[in-house]
Amino acid sequence: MQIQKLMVFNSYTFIAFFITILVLHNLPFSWKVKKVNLLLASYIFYAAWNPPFIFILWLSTVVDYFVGRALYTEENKHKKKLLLIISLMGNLGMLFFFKYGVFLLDNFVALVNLVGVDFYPAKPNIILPAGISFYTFTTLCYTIDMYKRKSKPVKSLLDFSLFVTFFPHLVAGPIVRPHQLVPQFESPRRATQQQLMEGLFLVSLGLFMKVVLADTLLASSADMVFDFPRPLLAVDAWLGVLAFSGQIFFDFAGYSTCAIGVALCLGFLLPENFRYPYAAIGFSDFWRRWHITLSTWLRDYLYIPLGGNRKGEVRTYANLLITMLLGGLWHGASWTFVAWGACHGIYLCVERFMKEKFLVKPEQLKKEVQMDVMAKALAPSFLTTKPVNNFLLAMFTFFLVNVTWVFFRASNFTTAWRILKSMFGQSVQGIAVLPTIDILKVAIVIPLMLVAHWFMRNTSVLDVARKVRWWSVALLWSFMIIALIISQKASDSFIYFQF
Amino acid sequence: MKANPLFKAFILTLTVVIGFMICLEWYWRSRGFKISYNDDKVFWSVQRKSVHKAGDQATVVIGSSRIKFDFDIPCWKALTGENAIQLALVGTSPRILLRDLSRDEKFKGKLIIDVAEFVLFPIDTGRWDKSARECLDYYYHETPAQKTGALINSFLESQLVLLEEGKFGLNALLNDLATPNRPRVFARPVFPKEFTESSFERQSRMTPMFLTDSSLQKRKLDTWTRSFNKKAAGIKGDTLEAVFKEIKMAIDKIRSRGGSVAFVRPPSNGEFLETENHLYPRQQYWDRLLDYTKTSGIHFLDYSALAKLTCPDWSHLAPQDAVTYTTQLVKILEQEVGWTFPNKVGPASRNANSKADGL
Repeated sequence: MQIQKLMVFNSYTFIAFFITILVLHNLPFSWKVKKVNLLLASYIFYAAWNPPFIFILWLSTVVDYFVGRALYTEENKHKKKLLLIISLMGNLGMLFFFKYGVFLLDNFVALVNLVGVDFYPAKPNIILPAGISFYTFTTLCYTIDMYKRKSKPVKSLLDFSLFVTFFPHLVAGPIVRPHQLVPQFESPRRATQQQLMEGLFLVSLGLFMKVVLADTLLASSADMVFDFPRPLLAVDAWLGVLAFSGQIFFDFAGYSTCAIGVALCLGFLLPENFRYPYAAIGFSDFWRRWHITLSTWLRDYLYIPLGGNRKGEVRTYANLLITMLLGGLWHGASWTFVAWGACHGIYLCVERFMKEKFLVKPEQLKKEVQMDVMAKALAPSFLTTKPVNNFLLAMFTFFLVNVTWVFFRASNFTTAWRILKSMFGQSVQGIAVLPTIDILKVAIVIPLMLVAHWFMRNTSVLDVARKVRWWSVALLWSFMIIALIISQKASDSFIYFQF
Repeated sequence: MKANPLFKAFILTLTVVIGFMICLEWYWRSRGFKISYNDDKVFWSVQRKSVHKAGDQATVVIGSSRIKFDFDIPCWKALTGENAIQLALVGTSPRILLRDLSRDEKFKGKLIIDVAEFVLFPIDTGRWDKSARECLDYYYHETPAQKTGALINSFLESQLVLLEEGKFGLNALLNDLATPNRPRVFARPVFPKEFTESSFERQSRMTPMFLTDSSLQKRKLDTWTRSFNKKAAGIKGDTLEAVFKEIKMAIDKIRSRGGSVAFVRPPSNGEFLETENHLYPRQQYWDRLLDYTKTSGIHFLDYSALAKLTCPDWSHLAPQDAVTYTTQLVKILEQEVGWTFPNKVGPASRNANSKADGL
């Protein structure tokens, strides 16, 4: 499967593109013209990767717009279900074909070979359309909402197209819901000076996270360790995994921060996607802080429809596991992603089990409803009042999260086991691979990241920027941009584009 | 009206950043650095595309850093009247590029393959192929966004010294700290940033700073000495046979379309040459390579004019010697290998020769 490079936020092309859009958006055109400009810009943004794939985006948009309206107005239950099935098959069918086609074929071939059938089909060369996992989830939630009549249909095809295609969130999220974005297209919007400044600050911060921290300082250590074909010294294995945990956070949170900043510069608000996840106390807390828009999507459109925690204990655990397994598979067509999801599912189940058995009274549990697992599964109360214990618990959570990242990053199980064995001192004759300079980078960046997450865990960067003196914001801002200029172009892709 | 605090912060940030960039640019220029392009996959891709534009007239050069310094493109153009496309990659085996050119049906021109034994016959192919794989991946999958970005980037790099990532990027600056590594940890050698500059056509040249500063030259030689491992062994037996076979297949394919191929072994001296001779004895590698592939080769030790050339860093020629080397190369290719250059212009050629000989 080929993954091609998009117009990334950290590129000269995007800077030129964004300045043009910003100017156009602030010229005295009618609101409709501005929306058309934004829509055309979004298509150009997407086409700058691979022009023909824009047709899939159009198809998805047009089908879901009309099916969505029909779902909302249709009274006949059978017809309604049929329409829903058409929409689900259309969206998920495309996702399965492009993202999971090769994976399914490989597994089928392995299975029939196992039972003695000689079947070796030609390997299809399928290009994964950029952002298909993200925009499929965006359109799916719309049609499901229409089916359930949770919200009203979008009034115009223009607004719906813009909702699906709006370039800041199109290729790597945040995954937006109709009620979060569509109302913003209904009346004229232009960023205030405050929003423009905050947007530019967020774009700078996001680029700093991506280019300086993820690509320049951490990527090489993670790559060296995960690409090394032999057993490693425990210290090297741990540093590589820690580097990856920093890299994946700064890469993805950096993209989300840029996306939110870019939208804000145009006057639009996108939902928060990361909230200092490495300060999480427990896994339910982690999933309230990591890729928030995906975890809430999975909660609302998978976990709850499966029955959530309303159908007894066993079903609750099963639902949790299914949700996390599919969440893992969403990240990529590979069993290693499923294993990653399974680890998180097991962690969530264990956490829930411990909470139920040891720390929470049954009558309190009964009060918890569907929102429980991902949004409401709180850490034990005595722990939330003791900062030291909380910090230790957060570090324990971080330790376990790191173990799961091994499956996420490793290209296969052989590599994953080799890294895990090295991490826990089970490898004989482990080899040192990391140059001292890379060790220093990880040893400085990761502790600073953890400290920052811990102290920021209950606030946001814009809140802090509003409270502190303006010149200290300027110093931080200057530092970030200077570091960006010095780092220059270290990479031309974001890790999450491949999902 | 009271100004928005974040707006004030923005204005101060802008002032600080612009001031910093001006100071940094002035600093690097005052140290003697000139405009030089970051020799990355983007510029490589630009050259790779011109293989097709040039049709049968192009001479393509593949190899590692040695030929990037020693093969002087302006001199070649003046002497032959033909374009030369530099596709060699620093510290990279040319085998993967040879394979790529052999599969490219449109390539029917002349091909010069630089033989630097350390990288042409490696045991650990992954390490020595990495840059080539990245370049090819970029070339074959370049998107419209990347094309636009490359245009903006090449313009900016032609204006600002500080944008050369390989020398002035954060990682390059951190590598300058030269922190000692644990035993047996592999790290690519870090050379003084004054060592080289690169043109848009990917011509590498030693800078006047490097050529006039013996301490910089010593630093470079020390880096080589530290990275030599005389206990290592070159590939042998079936593995070596497989490499020869792979190279021959690719060359035969190019020849079958009307293309021409020649190997060159540019000069190296001192401890570098000793290590190469020790690990890759000429009879077992160079001679067998020519014999197996039935291809002409120009070894610097076989020509007195080339053998007397001295590399300031044991491995690459100074710009003036690169002109001499290229001049001799053209002569040998014409007289001994039988290459012809239909667009060759007499007087221009004589002028270039005069320049090349330093007259």
